[in-house]
Amino acid sequence: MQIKVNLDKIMLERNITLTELAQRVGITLANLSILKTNKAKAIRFSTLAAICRELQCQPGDLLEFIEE
Amino acid sequence: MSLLGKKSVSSLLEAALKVFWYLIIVILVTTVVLLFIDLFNPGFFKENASFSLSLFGPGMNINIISELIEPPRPALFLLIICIVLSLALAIIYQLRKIFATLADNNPFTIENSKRLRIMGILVIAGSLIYHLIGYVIGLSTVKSLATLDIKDFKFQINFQPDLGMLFMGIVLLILAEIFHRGCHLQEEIDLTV
Repeated sequence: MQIKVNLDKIMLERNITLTELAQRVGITLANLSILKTNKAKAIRFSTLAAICRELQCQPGDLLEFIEE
Repeated sequence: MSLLGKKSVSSLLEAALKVFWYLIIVILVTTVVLLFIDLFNPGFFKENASFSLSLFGPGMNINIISELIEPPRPALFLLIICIVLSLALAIIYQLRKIFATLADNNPFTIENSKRLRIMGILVIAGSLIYHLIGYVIGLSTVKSLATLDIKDFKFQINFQPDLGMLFMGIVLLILAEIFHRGCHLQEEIDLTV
């Protein structure tokens, strides 16, 4: 089982680039890339809140539980 | 001068270890050549060789020299030197790799914890091998001394491993485990967004 991050899907819907989102959220492009490529081991509530604020979405839209 | 990074104490130590590394290789090759000379030409180092036993103590150094007893083959001592130098090379190799990561400002890697573990095992195994060979030489020496007709003298030998080195090896193994856990924590932090 794992948590899948649907960041790319929502970014496409909102028509926003990774660089722009990184700037608006206030984290590095490298860290946002780690999140987008599902390599992240954890996400801070502050980061999650900032992404949700900028993308106008809920945490549940970003994160998806997949049973293997 | 900083401890980590380029042009730091770590990079200086890495350079020093590199010099040591090549120096030990030269000495090791020379020792191996001498070892083969002694193995294939047994009389080569035997001129003026006599049995000598030294007893050390505070403020004294007693030498027992005898022409009657056959001295141990130089090959034995050369073999010990070869083993010690090989172990030193293996330890310096691991140290060089660790210092290279320190110079690159990236010391918390799983590889470094493995290197520390290898160093710990090498120190423990090396110390035991070194002292076992010393014990074997001691046994042959005691055997030679027993052939002498000395009344009221009894020669004994006990195996005495270097507890200090064993302790150092165990400390290295514990440090390796701590480092291993540290690496996992570092990975967690690196992959926390």
